[in-house]
Amino acid sequence: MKNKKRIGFRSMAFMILGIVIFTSCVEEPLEDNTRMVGPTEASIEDLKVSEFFEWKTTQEITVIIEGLPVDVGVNRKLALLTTSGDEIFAGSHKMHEDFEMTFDLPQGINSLTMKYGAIEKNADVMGKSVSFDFLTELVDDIEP
Amino acid sequence: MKKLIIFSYMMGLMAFQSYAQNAVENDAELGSRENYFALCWSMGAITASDSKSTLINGDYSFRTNQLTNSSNDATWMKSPWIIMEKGEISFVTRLDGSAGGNRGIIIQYIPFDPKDEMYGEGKEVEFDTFDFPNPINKQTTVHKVTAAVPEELIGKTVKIFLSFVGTGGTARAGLDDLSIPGKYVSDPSSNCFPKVAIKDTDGDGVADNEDDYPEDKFRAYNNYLTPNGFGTLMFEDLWPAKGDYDFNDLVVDYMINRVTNAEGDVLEVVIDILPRAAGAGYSNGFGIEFTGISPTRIEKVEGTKISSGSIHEFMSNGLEEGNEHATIIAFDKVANVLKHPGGGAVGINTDPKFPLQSGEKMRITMHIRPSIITTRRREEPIRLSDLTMEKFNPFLIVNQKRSVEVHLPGKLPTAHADKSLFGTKEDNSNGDKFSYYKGKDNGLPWGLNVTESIPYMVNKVDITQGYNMFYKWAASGGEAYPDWYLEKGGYRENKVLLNAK
Repeated sequence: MKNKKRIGFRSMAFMILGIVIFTSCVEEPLEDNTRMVGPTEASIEDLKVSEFFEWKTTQEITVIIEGLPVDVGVNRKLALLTTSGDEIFAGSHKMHEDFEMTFDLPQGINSLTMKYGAIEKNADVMGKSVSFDFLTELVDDIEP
Repeated sequence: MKKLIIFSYMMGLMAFQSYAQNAVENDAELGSRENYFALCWSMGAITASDSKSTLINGDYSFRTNQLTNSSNDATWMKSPWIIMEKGEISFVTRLDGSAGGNRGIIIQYIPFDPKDEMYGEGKEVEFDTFDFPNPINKQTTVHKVTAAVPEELIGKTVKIFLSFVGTGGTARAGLDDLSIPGKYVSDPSSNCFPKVAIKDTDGDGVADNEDDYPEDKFRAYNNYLTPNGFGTLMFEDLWPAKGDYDFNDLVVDYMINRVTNAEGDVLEVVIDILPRAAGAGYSNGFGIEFTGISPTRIEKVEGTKISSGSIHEFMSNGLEEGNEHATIIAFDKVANVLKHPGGGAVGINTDPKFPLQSGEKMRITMHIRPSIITTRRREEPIRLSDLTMEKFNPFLIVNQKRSVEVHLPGKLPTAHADKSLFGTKEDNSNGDKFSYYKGKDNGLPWGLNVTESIPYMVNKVDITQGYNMFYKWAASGGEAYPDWYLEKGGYRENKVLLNAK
């Protein structure tokens, strides 16, 4: 009976030790890693940043629009907007011409809207660019 | 592919829509129904195909599904809206050699009817037909089909509507080289409705409802550098010595509108400035360099606040003298635009014990001179790409010493800066473009630019105490919390922030 108790105590000690060892090997997510420098612990005196850090609160996003393959004689306002409706570009654009321009946009923008007359399209930022065209969606009515 | 198509078009090898010759043509060589739909053609159960069994000319012809329906809306093609002219509608067609009973093509027109809000289409009218000769089996002969434009259609806006019909068997039809005499008048940007005359009061080619300046023939569009309103600039003024990182020695909100004409040339730059705080004992000034813009390109600058007896010298156009790039001195002394509260306050609007002062809203307009193009000289117009955030170089002028400038990190000084100060005390500027106005030991800046208007720090409290995620953002090189400045849960400590406006 006495020996059984001792074995049980040792087993429990090994289990606790094992849990401590194994859990300490689990990588914490980024959110948890960065918690160590929260507002109360962080001091500007400790802060050191890369010499290449640009301190920008914007991101460069290139908008690419593929024009129609043929000149249809349409030249009107092209507007590019954030999803919250803020206009980032306005200018006349010929519908058959391609468009490419790079914008400094607030961080966190991950999609944009193109408006051209009655055409309104949304597209996601892929990498550092967003692509649009003037093509319309088709109904698949073609036999193989 | 597109270049090839355009090249082919220009070489006359492919004539898709030739408006100048007043014929609307379609030879399927764009190779994709999507392209044709975008150009206001429409079709049902027909595709552009390179299948040899129905190919007629070039790399593509149109190819129908199996024609086993005598209804005119089973397999069809509609042209864009066309103002018809006298002549013949023509096309070539063939079958694919499969079994079949009868096959034919009905040639119709659709009048424009504004009451149909979806497509503008009235009831179709048949005016000609083509029947493939029997027997259909094994038939692959190419037939040229023509149909005279009915007199009553000339000058009318219609769509030409071809229906492919048949009974029995499995034969399909191909179609190519369709030519319709008339002028293309569809507008793909307006649901393909016929083009209408735009109201353009100022005659600049931009419709009034799309023109930010409908009664100004020069100006057409606003283009804001910070699309969601004001941004905030915050400076420390002890450079090249270390500051206290409260970034409130000068706080100004800014909004920059690059006004363009219908061609996209920038005509003027309208800079709205709202001085908000000056937590300094110094009498600082504020300027903006537009990097890459030659001072000679500026016609005049209006709206700056300059003291008499200023330390600055100015060109006749209002820019500061002696700079390589166009440089505006918005105000030479912060006292010109922000009133001191008195009562022993060290600064303005940085100590919550003192009443907040309203800054004087400023609007500075930098007019750009039209470009000069002669046989000996060519100036390119200034475009939006010449006035990006990268080219925006605002700076603080320290305590009426013109040679001491504080710029945003990584920005270059103007020609007036005392170069001997670089690399001294805490400054790391060493000639490398990344090094300017960054701390020698810690890489920290003396200025920040946030593209939204945000509250700033109370005096002597460093920015990490007010913006909880700033430290993580900076320490991670911008990877973590790029939105550190936003008003999100846990992001701000409002008790140490001020928001004078």
